[in-house]
Amino acid sequence: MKAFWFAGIALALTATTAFALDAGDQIKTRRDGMKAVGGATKGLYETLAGDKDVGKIKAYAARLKQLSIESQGWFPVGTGPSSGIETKAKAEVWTDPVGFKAAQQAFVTQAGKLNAAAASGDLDKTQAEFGALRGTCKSCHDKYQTK
Amino acid sequence: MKVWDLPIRLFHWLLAALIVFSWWAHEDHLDWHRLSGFAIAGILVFRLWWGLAGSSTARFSGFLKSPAGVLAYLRGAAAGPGHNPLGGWSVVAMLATLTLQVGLGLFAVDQDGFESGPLSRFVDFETGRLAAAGHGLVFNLLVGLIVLHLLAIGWYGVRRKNLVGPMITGRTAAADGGPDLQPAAAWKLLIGLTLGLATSGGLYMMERASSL
Repeated sequence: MKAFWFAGIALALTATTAFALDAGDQIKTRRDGMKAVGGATKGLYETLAGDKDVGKIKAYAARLKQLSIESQGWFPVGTGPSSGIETKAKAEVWTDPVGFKAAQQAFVTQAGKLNAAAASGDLDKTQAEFGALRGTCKSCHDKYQTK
Repeated sequence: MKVWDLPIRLFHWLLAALIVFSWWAHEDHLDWHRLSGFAIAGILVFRLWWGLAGSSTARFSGFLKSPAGVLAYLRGAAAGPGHNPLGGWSVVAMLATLTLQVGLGLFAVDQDGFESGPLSRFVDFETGRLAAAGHGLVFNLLVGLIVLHLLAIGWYGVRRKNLVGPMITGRTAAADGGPDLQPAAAWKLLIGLTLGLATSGGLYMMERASSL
């Protein structure tokens, strides 16, 4: 009987640890992904303000579109503040799923518009869509991310 | 008797105002925050120059004392006009912290990659984020030093030594004794103003050249 309890506790501990590790990995994926978004944004900003190299602009915009699609998988349940792991994601991400899904969709839509503008080679339009994307980032972060 | 020249007083109050303004602008008014930072960079460069070539109470060589000198002051030795041996080191700590703070701000990048200091294009995103994190940490250090500064003013105030008045009027009670203020030559002031303006103006032009 004792052995049974030990086995049970060991199993529970293993499961908890595995879950925690899993949440940690998922949060790391999210963080790395967001860093990639920031890096691409910085690169696009500097290119638009600098040499306006069309090849680079297209590459950054395509990367942002790709990342926006991937970002929909960056917020699995159990990776919020209640995971006990440090994260800036607010609990509202999961307690307000409708609002958050809409915010995610807005990112995908706006990054798609940016990519379409960049692909067309229209720099003015690209810059306008890029400006709009800035608002998309900010409105979601204001609402769903701790300072 | 005269203790602080006009450049030092202007520097002091401009700096105080710009620090408060920068803090206010750091979240939602980053355009203003950057301009304020460029202004601080300029007056800091001026102050560092003035510490080498300025009036007698502004010079580092005049107010920086050895640890033994600081200890002697703490044990009650008299101090001449200007920064006392302990206050002198607190000034250096504040100037060094501010220089670091401005330097970090120039390379800082916000998390979304849209807002950044004018030199951030020379570093990658992660380095820019580290600079931004450092900019936040060093601000706390700065606040700590400012609180110490204010506490010291209060401490001397209750001991009937007014430090704020002289920083406004430039004059202190003659009874304090010590040598008179030795002003600096006008051409040295001109060099300092040129260095400061070149710093602020240069940063502003770099900013203009690198923003959308």
